[in-house]
Amino acid sequence: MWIRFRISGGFAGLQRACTIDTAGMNREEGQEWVDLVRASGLLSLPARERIGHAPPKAVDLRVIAITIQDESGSHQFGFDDLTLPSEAACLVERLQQHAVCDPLDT
Amino acid sequence: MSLSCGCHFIPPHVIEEMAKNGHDGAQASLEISRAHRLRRDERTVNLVRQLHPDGQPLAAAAGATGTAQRKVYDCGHGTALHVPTRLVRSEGGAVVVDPIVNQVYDFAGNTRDYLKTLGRNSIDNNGMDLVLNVHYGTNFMNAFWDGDEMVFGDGDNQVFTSFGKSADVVAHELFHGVTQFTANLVYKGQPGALNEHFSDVFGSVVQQIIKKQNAGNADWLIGDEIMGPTLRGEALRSMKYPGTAYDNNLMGKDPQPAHMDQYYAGPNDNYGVHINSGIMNRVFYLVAMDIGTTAAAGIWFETLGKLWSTAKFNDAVAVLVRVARNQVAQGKVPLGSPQSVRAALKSVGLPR
Ligand SMILES: [Zn+2]
Repeated sequence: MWIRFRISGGFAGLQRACTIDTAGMNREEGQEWVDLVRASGLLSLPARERIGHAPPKAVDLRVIAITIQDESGSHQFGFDDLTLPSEAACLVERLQQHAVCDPLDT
Repeated sequence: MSLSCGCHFIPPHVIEEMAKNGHDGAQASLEISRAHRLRRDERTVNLVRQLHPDGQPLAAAAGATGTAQRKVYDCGHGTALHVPTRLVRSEGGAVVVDPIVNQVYDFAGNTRDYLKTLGRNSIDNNGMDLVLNVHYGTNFMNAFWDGDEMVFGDGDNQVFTSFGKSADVVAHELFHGVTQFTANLVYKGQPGALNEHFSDVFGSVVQQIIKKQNAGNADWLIGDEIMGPTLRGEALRSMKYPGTAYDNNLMGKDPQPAHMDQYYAGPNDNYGVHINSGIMNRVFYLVAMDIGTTAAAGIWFETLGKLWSTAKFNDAVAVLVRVARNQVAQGKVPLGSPQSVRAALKSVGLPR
């Protein structure tokens, strides 16, 4: 499983990202990520629920972009602080711990 | 509950055009039609206004005016907002044990008092309550305005500590509400960068009032008080020197430009709303250094009330200069203020 995660904006305006590739991990560590993704419920979401934006009057929200690739294909998700499904909070928290600053591509 | 549409004698797009061309009556009308539009989905709609044919408001009567009460809710690390059983301090309530609750309560009060000195009754100018949610989520590294209320996370205690412990953060979020009920600047590109800029300006102004500082001895930093233990001394933005607030392994490097030549045109951060705000922040800093923070803030506040949702930097330039000129004529700001505004704008490459 391969995961690309990016979180940007918000009051702080920071740009942080990470890439997780279970191929380079030991079995236990890799399984942990697979379990986290399963628990997030993201891959079970219908297409229309994979992108969520809060109403425009909500401001300073961070934008969260996740791409997950597994044997079923490549899956893309886009949320913000208010639309991230609560089941995915654990996964996003773990991804944030791995994320490092990612300069703007201009 | 929906709001009646009131009596709009002039089509909204015509009013907007008139406002762009500097008709103050049209701007008053524009503000009222915004109030109608914005209030439609409010939980407690109580504002009904009518327009006089010259565009001035007749009354803000029908329906109770609010009393701008502060209400602090403890999210308890969950994500549900304003849960009634979690109301931990309301207006006039005693100090509680949790320092974050007391801090957001105090800073919101300072901001409300400042708005009063500008002749504004709370966020919506109709006494809207100030709802503050603290301890939102787990290690939540953000603060935001959700369109109705303010929300503060606790940070991860490494990069950031609690967002509620800084006056400039609380005033920044509260002013997003004020902007929503005035210029209602679209949160994308240049209008979005102006939206961010006004929140940074008034966050900084309220901070200076609380700390009894002036333009000359203020630090002009945003977010320095919420930096985690390993990042003490860093900040999120510098209004004085945009682009210098931080440079470290955890956060990266402050991307804010201080001049239009370095304008960020990429898609990140809603096309740079927290990035390009640095250009206008530098303008405010320079003007405040020249004529004082109070006078500069007066010009900026009136400008916020005269801008419109799609306004860009050049529009803000035109309105800032016109307001500065009017305020000189009214004796509100020192002679030379328009020239100070123009010089500051010129130094960052505006207008262009
Ligand atoms: Zn903001």
